[in-house]
Amino acid sequence: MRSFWALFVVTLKNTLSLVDSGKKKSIWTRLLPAFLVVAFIPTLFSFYMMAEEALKLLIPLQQSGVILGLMLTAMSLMIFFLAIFLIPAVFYFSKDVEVLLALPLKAHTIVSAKLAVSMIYEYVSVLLIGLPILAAYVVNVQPEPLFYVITLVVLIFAPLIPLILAGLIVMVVMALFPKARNRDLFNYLSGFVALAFAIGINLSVNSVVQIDAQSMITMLIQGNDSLTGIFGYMIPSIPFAINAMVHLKLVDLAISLAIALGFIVIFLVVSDVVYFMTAVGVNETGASRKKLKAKAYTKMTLRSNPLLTYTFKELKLMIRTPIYLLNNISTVVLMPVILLGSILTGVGSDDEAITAIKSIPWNDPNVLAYVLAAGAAIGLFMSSLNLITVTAISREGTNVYFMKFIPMSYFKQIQAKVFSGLIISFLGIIFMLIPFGIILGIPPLSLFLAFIASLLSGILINYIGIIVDMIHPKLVWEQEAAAVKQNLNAAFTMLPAMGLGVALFFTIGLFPQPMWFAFTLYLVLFVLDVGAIYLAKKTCKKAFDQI
Amino acid sequence: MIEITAVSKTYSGKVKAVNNLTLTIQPGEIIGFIGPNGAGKTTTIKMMTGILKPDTGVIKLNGIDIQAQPLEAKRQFGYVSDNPDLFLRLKGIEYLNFMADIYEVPVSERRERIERYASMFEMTTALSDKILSYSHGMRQKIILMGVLIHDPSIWILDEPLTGLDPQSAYSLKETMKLQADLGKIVLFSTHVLEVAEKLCTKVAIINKGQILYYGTLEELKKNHAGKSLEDIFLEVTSHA
Repeated sequence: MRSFWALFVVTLKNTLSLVDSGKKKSIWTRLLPAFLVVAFIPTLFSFYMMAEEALKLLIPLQQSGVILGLMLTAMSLMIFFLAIFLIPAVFYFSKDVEVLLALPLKAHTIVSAKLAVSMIYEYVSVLLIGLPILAAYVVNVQPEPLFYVITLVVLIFAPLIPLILAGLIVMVVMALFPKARNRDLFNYLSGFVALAFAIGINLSVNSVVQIDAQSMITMLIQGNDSLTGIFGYMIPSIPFAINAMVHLKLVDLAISLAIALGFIVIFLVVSDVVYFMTAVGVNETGASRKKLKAKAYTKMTLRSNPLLTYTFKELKLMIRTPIYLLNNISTVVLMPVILLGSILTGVGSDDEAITAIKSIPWNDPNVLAYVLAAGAAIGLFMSSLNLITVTAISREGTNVYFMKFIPMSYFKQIQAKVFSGLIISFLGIIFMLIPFGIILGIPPLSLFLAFIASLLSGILINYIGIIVDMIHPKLVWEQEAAAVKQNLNAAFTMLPAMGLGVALFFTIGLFPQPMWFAFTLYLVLFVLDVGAIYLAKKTCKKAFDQI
Repeated sequence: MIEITAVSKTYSGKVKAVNNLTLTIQPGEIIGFIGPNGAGKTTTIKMMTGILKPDTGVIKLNGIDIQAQPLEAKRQFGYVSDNPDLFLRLKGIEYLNFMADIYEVPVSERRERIERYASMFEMTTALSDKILSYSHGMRQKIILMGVLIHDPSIWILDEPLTGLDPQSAYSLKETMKLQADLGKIVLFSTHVLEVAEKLCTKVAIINKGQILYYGTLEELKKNHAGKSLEDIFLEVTSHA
């Protein structure tokens, strides 16, 4: 127990020290918590409102417990989903594993300390889902004081079983499939499973939205028992936790805790059998150690223009780093699929909508103005969403020194980084415009003009991105994910891009003739592009001197 | 030739890492840059390569000022950092070809050099794999090869022998000697005094950002007769 505690404290401190480096905090770092709170307020508020609406209907039916069941299930699903990524990273691929394996520690000590630290991470999910729903429950149901005590205990233990389940699955996969003991492969697989999951959830949510509120509630009530059964099938403690919270039964609370304890015991026993066997020999990537064939060698040693070779280097690193592939490049495919899915499921069965779309006079100049605005908005949207240039310097991390000693100007290097962003942005734009054009029946010329507008806006966002990242790169990180996912710079292109995209549609009405709008749009975007390129060139020397 | 004149660097306005350092290195010399941890070796090397900007002073590489004409100056040297974890998801061959493209090495020369150095450092079968799959020593070797591929007239190496196996360390030392014989400059930092003793034509002992001794080891030993190199080093650095 003593070694578990020591390991837990050290691991936790190490994790927190990555967040707080002890250096003087910049204004950006100080503002980050406030920014995050503000960013989450709308989400928390919408959860609260949804819970309140549901409770208004459920309370008269004496079914208010359903909302707690949904809360615990949503929490468990979210924790389980996140844990599928977190557990391999923490148990197998974190940098401390090699050190820990050499220490005289039992497998269950290492694994349980890592599990406890993972639980701390997961409380963010617990709070995000739990706080607004519980607030709505408390306001509407006004439970007795014992409810709060029971709820606190339930929430403290909420992440445990989903984490253990994910841990057991990961350990068993590692044991049964030795090839999975490879960080890159594991990240690719889990990433694509997550993508499929996200697309699936999105499409099913779209179809659920078609159902009116009354039938949804009816479905919810009818499904109460079976829903609880499903919760119980996945996380057997949930039905007891719900009972304890709703009926304030301490026996049920004790049973749910006993079930959690049972899971802990199973987890520790399995970890003692499997963990060392699977953690030893884990590597970062596969290797063949075969001599290159003459033909391949000749092909791979061809000479290329430095700017081009640098651009391809950027793209290769992005495609081959699972975290970057999923965060930076997958949006090219994911966003069009999600948006098209929404349109198809929304319009597919609605004859009125289909007739309305078919009757749009695409050749009307007024309509063309909206098509151009949509093109520019898609350029802004797809370019800001992929986060490629706005994290291009941050992704270098401690290797940023390479940019400073090679005989290639900073501007040329950032051009290469911008080109890599533009290539992915343009692919995203094409994947978005062509299917939309076909589905909505937009004429090719209008589509081409929209494409030009999207290219101009895409160039703008990519250059703004690189300027932001040059001025304030996030270079200190341990895991690649931090360079992209925990990078505040992204907000500096995403938010203005979204705002500008929406504003475009409102400005159309300000022009007496739609053609004037089109001309002004092209001209303004072109001037802004030239300005952004000039600013990027002016910024790079000074910015790199500071890095 | 490397000319470092009155160079100083202070971090965060407080810590003086390099203090009015002056050093001139002639072609054909192998210079060991020796000093305790935090002495200012890496800071000096980073200023020579353009990674850091000196607060004061001038650094010229083959007569070209690194601050005034950075691109021309950067073409003069090849740099191996103390951290070989670079572009880990590129394959070895891709990294070498990338470096060859950046330094605009003609195709025939890059191929001949890749084959020669891959064979010398026993990396032939590793070139098709990602650098991520390499051991620390192999990563060190691929970075070295990335320098050798453009055949610079000045080599700047930060702790280059760390992590190399004996055969590769021997090959590297022989290559360093060969380069010096061809009139090139090799400057490397090291903690291993024996390596400096066997390899260097001169040593520069640095501590607290200042050069305490610059000259041949024979001269240094003559001035401290009867003492081992280790004792001399400790004595010189303790008087800083």
